[in-house]
Amino acid sequence: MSRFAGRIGSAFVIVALLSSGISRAQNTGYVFSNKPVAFSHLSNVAGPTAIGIDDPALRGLLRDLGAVLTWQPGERYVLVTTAQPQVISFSVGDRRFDVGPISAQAAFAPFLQGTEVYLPLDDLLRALYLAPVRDGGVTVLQPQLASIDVQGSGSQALLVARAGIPLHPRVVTDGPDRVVYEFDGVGSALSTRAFDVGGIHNVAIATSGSARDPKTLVTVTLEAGARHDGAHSNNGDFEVGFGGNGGAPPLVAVATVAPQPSASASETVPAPVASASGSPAASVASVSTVSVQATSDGSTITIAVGGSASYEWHRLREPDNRFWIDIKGATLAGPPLDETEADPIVSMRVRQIDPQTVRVALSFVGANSLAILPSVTGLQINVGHDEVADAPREGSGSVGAVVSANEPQALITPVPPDMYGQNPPGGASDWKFGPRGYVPTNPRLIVIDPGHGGGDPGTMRNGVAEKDLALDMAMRLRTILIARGWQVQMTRSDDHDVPATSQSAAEAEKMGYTTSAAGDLQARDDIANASGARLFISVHVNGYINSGPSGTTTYYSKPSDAAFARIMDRTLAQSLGTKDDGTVKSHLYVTLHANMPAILVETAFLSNPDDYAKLTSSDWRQKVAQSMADGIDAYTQSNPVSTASTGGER
Amino acid sequence: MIGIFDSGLGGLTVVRAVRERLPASDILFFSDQAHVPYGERTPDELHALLEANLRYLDARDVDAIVMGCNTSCAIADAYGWPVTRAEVFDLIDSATIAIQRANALRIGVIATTATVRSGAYGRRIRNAIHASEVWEVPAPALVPLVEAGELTGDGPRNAVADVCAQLPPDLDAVVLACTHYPILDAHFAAVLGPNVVRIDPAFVQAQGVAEMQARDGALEEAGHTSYVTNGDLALFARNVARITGEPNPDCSELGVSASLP
Repeated sequence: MSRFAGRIGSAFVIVALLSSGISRAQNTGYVFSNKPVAFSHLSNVAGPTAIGIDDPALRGLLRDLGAVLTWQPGERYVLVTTAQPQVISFSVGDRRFDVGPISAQAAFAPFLQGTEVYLPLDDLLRALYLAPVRDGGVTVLQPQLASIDVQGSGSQALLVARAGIPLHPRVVTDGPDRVVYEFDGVGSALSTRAFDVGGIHNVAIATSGSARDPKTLVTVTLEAGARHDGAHSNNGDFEVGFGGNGGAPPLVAVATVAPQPSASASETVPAPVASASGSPAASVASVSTVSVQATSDGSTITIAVGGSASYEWHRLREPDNRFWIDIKGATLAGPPLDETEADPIVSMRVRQIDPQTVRVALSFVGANSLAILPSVTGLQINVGHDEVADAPREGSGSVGAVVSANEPQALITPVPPDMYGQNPPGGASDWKFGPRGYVPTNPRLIVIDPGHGGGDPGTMRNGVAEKDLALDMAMRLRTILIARGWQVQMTRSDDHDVPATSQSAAEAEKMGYTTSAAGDLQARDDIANASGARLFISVHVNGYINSGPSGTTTYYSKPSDAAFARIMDRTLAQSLGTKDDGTVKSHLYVTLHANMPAILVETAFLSNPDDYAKLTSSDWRQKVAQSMADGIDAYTQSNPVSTASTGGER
Repeated sequence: MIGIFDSGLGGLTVVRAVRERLPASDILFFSDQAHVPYGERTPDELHALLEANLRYLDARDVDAIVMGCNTSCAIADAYGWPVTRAEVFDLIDSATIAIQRANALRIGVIATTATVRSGAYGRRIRNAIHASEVWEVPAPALVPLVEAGELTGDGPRNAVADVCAQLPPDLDAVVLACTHYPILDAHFAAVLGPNVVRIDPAFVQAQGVAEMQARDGALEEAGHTSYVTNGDLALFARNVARITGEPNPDCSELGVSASLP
């Protein structure tokens, strides 16, 4: 099941609608938080109300919100940094303004009057998530619920509510079919939306109360048996996790016998309910550091726990490769932590999810092997590059003064037979679910894409061009693959760029890419996708503005291509003598839009002297071609077409 | 010869760092004063200026272009670097290296509005150090103080304190992400206290160039520094003398039409 991320409305738009109808009356009094806000630097020269940035009441309002406005005479930009932190950026003379990464159009361009910049008041207010609401003779600046995001997949979801002020909701109803949160002092123009993820049917939003004293009720309707975490605050945002029992990821039709007695038979994915049950009466332990270190086999996470605590861990099934461990009776000493990309860990979050529980949540590239090692000083979690088809999905134990676990202390997850009842060929540890839903019509065909070409030389140094080196290595690879019995389709076999067709350009544009380069890249993907090939490999040479960076990097875009990338990376690392820069997941156009498993290899840096010497040696380029062919053989042997999918390919 | 570029005079702090490291190299400092202040310019204009400025230095046959302008580096982060023959040393790269060496995780970045607005520092630091938390704070009031020579007393001290008040407490490090700011370092030191590491990316810039020269085998040079502006020569020469302490710096003027749009 694909990952789900839904958002209710964008308050940005909705508040704008509100304000266009309401805040027309000019120069009336304003009220925020039941205090009058006496704006004095107002101007209607530009039509809608403009406010001078030196207005004392504006400065006071920003101070109340924890925001700071910065401008210097002679500067183009007026920046407001908010407490979130977020940067709101206006430009003198330009109607476009930015709120963090989002651009919007203001009612008019900020202008200079004397030595003071005037900003569009309504736009500034809505960027601060304040809606101007008329109440009698005054305009109340009402804090708004900015957004409600629901992210998750299958039976797990996280709901995040955000506003311009810190949110401290209370739970007013906590029933089996719904949970209702009340946000005091916050209005909302968001509307109900159905979600159907993580046990959530829909989220309904209703605002009541007066303009000055609004209340917003957020009702989350749940499917039977769904559960939720305790809510917590994260930088003023409100977060709560949900877990359902339906909608199990439809990856594997029938679950095999769980190798661990603790794995639940019902496929229920628990969203551990935050409670004091089973945890010490008072939180005594402290989680002081959580660090991630790359090892030759994967990554090691070290969690330092002072005192003693119990823990409980869960992992979800492929393709939802998430894992979390709750350390109970512990408090997090330090800020919450967000970490990403420490291969094979895609992301890590460390949070105090309730006063007694610290949660370390991880998401992996695939169904990676896992070992949880408790000790007297804390926990070590080893995540391996190798993958296991049906790993245990939960466990528990304790750390600190007394160590115990209901599992071997060094739990190397066993490799069970695969779902077809046979061990995969080519070594069990490399076994992995193949890319879902893609059926190669030509399973013996490989598409090779030499980067750049023609008028696009790629990176250059001393007259040596990437396009020529890439073509040379690609043609060598072609010869070797043909000799090994593969068929080969080249996207180009001479010094021409692959021209965008009107169709590929239209296709690229449909996906929101407007550069002409995207059309060229789509043309390469069109060749690959039309061929029905087994694999796609794009050959490139890296470059940088200075000679510092060096090494070989294998890129991929689709999570299902991680195994191909990793096998290629390992094969290249063994023979090329370059620095191994590992695999990188990136939204590269060619690999993202190829239907089949697709990787892009940046063989070495033309800008680095050592790598340059290698790239300009034909012996080394031959070695690259051989290693790439070896990588293709290794991947295809361990991921045979007949068993490489969820059934769609059978 | 090593080329060093800035839009104004802040890049002289980079000249100082490179000179300390490489006493025998020739240095050409180029200041695009015809187009200063960059804070008034649109991203498109800044990108065009970056291309023109790097092309000018590249054409003077420098071995390296050491960036002394953070705003230009932030623009390159968004638009990509122009292709040059000479190696380019990026301030944001250097700052990130310095942060890694300092093992800092809670990081403040003080910069011009254009740099803060781009978000380039935050993005690059978070990419390189996953567990890091970054706060970017604009400080447009500081550059005019340095350019006006107001370096001591309550004025600059209070201006620095006002900027630092916007940072959260318990930071590990603060990046002085505008090359003017190291000139006010005494004030930053007093306000931030001894527990916050102050990072001037110029030192890592200088180290990078030194490593490049060691690798390539540096030519025998006279260790001469020349200063070129496309702005007002007399004013430029006075300011260079004041900031560098050189009594008679070798300053010259470049006609705007000679190199720039």
